[in-house]
Amino acid sequence: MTREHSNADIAARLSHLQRVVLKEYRYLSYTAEKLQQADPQFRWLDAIEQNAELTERLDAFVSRFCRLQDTLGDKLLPTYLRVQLEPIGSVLDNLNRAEKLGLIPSVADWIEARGLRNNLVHEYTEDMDVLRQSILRAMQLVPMLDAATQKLGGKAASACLAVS
Amino acid sequence: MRFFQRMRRSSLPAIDKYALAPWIPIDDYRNRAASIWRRRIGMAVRFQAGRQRQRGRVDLLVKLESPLTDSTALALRYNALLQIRLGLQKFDVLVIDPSTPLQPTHLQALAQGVRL
Repeated sequence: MTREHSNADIAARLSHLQRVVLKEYRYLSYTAEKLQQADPQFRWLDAIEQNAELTERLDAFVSRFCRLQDTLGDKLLPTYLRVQLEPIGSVLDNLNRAEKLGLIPSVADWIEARGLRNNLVHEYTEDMDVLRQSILRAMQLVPMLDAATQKLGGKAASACLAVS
Repeated sequence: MRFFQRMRRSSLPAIDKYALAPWIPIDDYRNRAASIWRRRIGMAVRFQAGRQRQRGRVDLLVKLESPLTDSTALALRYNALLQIRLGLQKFDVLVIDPSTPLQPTHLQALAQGVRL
């Protein structure tokens, strides 16, 4: 494989991932808004069995929250760093680098969002107060994912133009 | 050189980057975790560290001395700080306060854990 081909491949992947994160954020934002409109304090979780429709919406929110974080942190960020000839290391190294470059607002918030995943699965989390607090925290972290999507997506789009 | 490379491949176990580093004693992880709490969060607590599990993670039970409405959020924040300092996915943190109804996992940690 020649260097030109390799660069073109990376640019194509970066461009694809950039479009994906924008779509994923749009869907996440839609679901988050719908859930907030239904009940901003999530009191309906006390009667979760009687709220099948909201539970489905919650599942969609959790799935979209985790997927966007995966695509941003585990796919788009390493590809972008590679294009920028930045050193690529462990997840934590990449996140620290991203924070220094201003691509994500805070590593601590990012890691916290990663840690939320297990708590957000209502089938596993039997304590509804833990589930409620975790969802409320996830809702607070949606703007952080928005900021990362806009910043990283924008930078990725510019990098694609420069590479291709 | 080849001899050492061959030996390294055959004799050393693969290192799981998400597990505890085998050359660092478990007590070091626990004490550093407790020190991060004191430095970064600072609320009065009683620490109880669980026994090391097979997969190589540290269980920490943090018992607050006064009630707190969002102990889950505090546990998440503390876990994030630990992961930044000591490595990803090495800790399971539970934060309870005097008003928390005790679950079997809490009781087990309180009974069997090492007090820090």
